[in-house]
Amino acid sequence: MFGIFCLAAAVVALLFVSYQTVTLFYSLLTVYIFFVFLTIWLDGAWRTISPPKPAKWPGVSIIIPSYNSASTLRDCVAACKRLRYAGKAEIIVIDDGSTDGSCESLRIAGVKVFRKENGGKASAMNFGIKKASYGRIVCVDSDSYPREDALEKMVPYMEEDSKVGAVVLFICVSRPKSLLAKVQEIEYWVSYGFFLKALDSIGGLYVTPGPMALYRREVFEKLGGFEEKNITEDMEIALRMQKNGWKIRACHQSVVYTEAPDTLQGVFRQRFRWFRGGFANVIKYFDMFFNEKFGAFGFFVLPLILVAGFFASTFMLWILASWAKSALSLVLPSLGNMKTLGDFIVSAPGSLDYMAVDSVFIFSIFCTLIWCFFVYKSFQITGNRFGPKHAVPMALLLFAFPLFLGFTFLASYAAEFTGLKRGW
Amino acid sequence: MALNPFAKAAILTIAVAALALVVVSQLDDARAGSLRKSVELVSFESESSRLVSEYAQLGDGDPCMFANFTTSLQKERAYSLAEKLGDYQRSNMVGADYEAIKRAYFVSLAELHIRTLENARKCPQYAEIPVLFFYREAPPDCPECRLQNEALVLAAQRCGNVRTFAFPVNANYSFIQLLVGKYKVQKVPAMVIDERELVDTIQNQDQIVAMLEKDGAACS
Repeated sequence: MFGIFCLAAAVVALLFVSYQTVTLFYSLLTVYIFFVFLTIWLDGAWRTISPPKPAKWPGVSIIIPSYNSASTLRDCVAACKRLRYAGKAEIIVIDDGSTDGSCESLRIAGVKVFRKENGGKASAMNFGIKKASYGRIVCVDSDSYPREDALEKMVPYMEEDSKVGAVVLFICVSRPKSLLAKVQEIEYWVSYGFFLKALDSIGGLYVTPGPMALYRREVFEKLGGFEEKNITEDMEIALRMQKNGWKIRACHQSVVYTEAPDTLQGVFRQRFRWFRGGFANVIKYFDMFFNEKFGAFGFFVLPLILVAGFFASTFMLWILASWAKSALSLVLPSLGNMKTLGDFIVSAPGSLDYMAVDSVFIFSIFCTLIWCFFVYKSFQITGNRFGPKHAVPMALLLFAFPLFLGFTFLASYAAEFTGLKRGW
Repeated sequence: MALNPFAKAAILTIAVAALALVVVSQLDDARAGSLRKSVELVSFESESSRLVSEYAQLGDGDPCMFANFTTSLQKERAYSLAEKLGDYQRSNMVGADYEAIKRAYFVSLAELHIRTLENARKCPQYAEIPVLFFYREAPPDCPECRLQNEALVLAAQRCGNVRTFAFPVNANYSFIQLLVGKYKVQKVPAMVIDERELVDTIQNQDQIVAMLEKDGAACS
């Protein structure tokens, strides 16, 4: 509650601070954050040191929670069956009260299917954990398709260190067709490629993404299962693990392909849940902020999550206020003379004069150059080369997608502040 | 002692901030320099007009024989120069005092306007039709002001004896507020043609030319 109050006070305070001060501060902060990631990368995050193969491969239970996923479940199960693994493995599908018959006709050798009343993904995974036979649990979304070597590459990361509670992997968009899906494809490469690798090197992983993640069963036994009322239970369990001294590792040699929404409405719904859930989780673990017990995680990673969303939603709030004022001034002309902070953002110089350069512009150049480096490295990690087909999605990712995300951040924060019921 | 990434990033950020400060301050000075030159031209023109008028009064001959002697202010410069001043002032962090440059500019422009009016009264055969253009300085941005100015500039270029003077209604200069009050300017953009007609609705180029021709402008 105190955290929410602080944030609300900060937003209100920002309304009374000058535009130049805010944008200068934000620009400097962005430059600093980008330099942090750059130095983390150059200091050694770029290295990939594969852990040795375990002497004895542990048994793995693959849990697939499913709800009305008729279009993707069979492909997901087939991909899991194709996983190469030297140890014992089982596949458990938990039908969370589907009404499309997706699980009823699922009769595949070696796949156990359990049905339960609908209770949400987290409850389905907890149900599956109880049914699991082995000490390593892999949770796979029913619209995700792991590559054949995913499991055999992830497991050594867990076996190398008994404090590793979870291992995450590289998430890619499956068969992107629409422009929106291609934008998300590049976004995933950068987020789950470069940034995940960088965060991994400082112990800063704050989420065990839903498409696929490997857990040590002991984590659930000691900390409890997934929080069933939480809309981003994958982030909540990760924060809980970090708080209790468990490590989370990233294995970039492992890849899982997942379906991404290909409509704006679908992306909005997904990100709205992510941002709202993320905000709620970060507030829940507010005591980890700037707590030296948690090192870089408490001093850098958690504040970064909050700052990014805060600034994105604040700038969008100003822009919307300025647009609303312009629209209303058609009816009430006197409103046209009213100054709002958003006016500075939406108004552009009348001519593109190269001389109208200020310090924020120079910082933007630096940030853009460093961003290009991040994208280049992300493409390298994925084994792709930047080509003409990536130009349009990249341009949209840089200039249009952030506006959309800013609006989604604002909507999600507003929903959280007003106490709107959370849901999938 | 090996620095952690956060300390290294802080050092790099401070270096970039210092570099930005130096570059922007150099740019500010260069921008201010180029603007001062433009403003000085306006001041020169205003002074020239005043001197010509005083010389004419000293002589015994026709005072109007010198009336046509003025260097021509590029007609499109008035608003765009003011807009540039505004843009640079918003971008300005350190260095140049744009407020002083702006003050000097608008004072010179107002003096030039007065000379134009005096000239029109004393020497009607050489008179130029003054058009006062009132706009709003950003923020908030006034895209309709920019639009109207473009139409006005094109219209003025078609008419040989028209001179435009652009003043921002939200500038806190008494002589500008005097003009705003005198012509009862309520909203922007607004034009006052030949001291008589207040036009506060958006006009296109042809409509402005028609109004100027009605006031005696020689337009093509």
